[in-house]
Amino acid sequence: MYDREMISRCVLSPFGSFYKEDQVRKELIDGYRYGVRSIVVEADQVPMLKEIEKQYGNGYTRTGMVLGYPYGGYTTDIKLKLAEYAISHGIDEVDLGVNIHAFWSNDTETMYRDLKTVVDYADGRLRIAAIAWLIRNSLENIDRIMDTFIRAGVKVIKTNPGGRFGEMKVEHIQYVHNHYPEIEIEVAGRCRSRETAERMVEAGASYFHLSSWRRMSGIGDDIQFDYDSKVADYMEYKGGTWRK
Amino acid sequence: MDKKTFASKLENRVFDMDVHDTDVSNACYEAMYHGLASVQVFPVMIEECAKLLKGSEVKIAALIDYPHGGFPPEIKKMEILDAKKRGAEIFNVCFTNRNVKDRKWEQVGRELQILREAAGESELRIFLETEYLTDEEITKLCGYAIEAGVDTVITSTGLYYKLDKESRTEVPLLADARDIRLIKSVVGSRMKIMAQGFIDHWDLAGEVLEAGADMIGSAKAVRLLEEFH
Repeated sequence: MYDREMISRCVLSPFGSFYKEDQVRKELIDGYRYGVRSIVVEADQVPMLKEIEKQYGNGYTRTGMVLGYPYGGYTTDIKLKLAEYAISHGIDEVDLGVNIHAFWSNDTETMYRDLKTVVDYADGRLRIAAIAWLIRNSLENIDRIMDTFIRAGVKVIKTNPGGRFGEMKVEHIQYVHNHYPEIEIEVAGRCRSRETAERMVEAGASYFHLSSWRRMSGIGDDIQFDYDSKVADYMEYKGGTWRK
Repeated sequence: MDKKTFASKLENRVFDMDVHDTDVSNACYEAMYHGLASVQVFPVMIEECAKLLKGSEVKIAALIDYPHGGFPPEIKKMEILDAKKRGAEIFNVCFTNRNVKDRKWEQVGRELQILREAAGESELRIFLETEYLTDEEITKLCGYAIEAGVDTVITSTGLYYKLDKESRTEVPLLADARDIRLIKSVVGSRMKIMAQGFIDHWDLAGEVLEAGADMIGSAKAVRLLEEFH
């Protein structure tokens, strides 16, 4: 996979608590300049994202917002409020946290209703990537989750809530793609090498939500947070660690 | 301090959503049985907790805009009011810490005022996320929190790990007694301090209490009680 293709598959999200505004701006601007697939932000960053889109929009990079992210523990009412906010601001897509607690409590219908309510409200005005929690579920559960998502009208899944939950496996991608070829797959969860990303693309992945999008695309270093100095800065990833 | 007093300083946490409803009900039963102060849960869990805890002294602390704190303040306010309606009596709110890093203190103050108004007479707590803040930032944020009438500051969401430069492995960001001593030196008795961050054993619990924490949030509250000495 050439660097250009990798960049076009990247989804970036500069919304950690440690980001300063000038760093967020740089990430957003560079995201547009390089042509990443999407830029996903928190609700309070949407005005900045839309302002930067006006200046740097390239006709390809989508605007995104997190909604009930990542755990899905907000109530459906609040998720609807956030969906309304996203639509009113002209956001293209959302990363949606579902009520996975209901699913794990054998109450799939509550998860379904939570999801369907948001999908129906969006009514095609938002591309919804629902978080499928692949890493934490057996294949039988993945089937139940996917069937529920499809029934609710979901066309895109995000594999995982994020890095804390573990490393996504190529086999998960392969399973979902083989059994649900109509579903687009956005990978999230510690995809840290280009080789793994390429294998995942071969297995059926479409996009990658990455904290290390620059390194993975071969264009530079990414922002990391130094817990000693309490400063975020661009750092090189070498030998299993990040260094300034 | 006796065991009963220690129990009254503990909040039982449910901080992941990929849990079964028995994990939530067990957290409630443990809190009731052992005399814990409260349970910390996601908004979707409030109603099931309220049913179980009806008539008990255990309070429900709702996680608001958790864990990133990225809602505009008006939507945080909505979430607090919604959680209150469902039965929460305490609000553990994730704050927009990016405004602290950017020194946008007017916005910090404004957000805190909105949160205070939304919480009304109920206990308002904000997550400081001390792992991301310098001493100066912690000090100043605590000052604004006192001015706004925040009841309690929580040191951390207690979720994250950092890459250890030497071992190159990920290690949990533990609650830090040093941070608590700093916070205590700023807030005195004007605000309470809740320590949170992988406090899974008595050693760390004892340390943070000695440093000045008034409460501890932990998913291992019962273990802490068992190890209490």
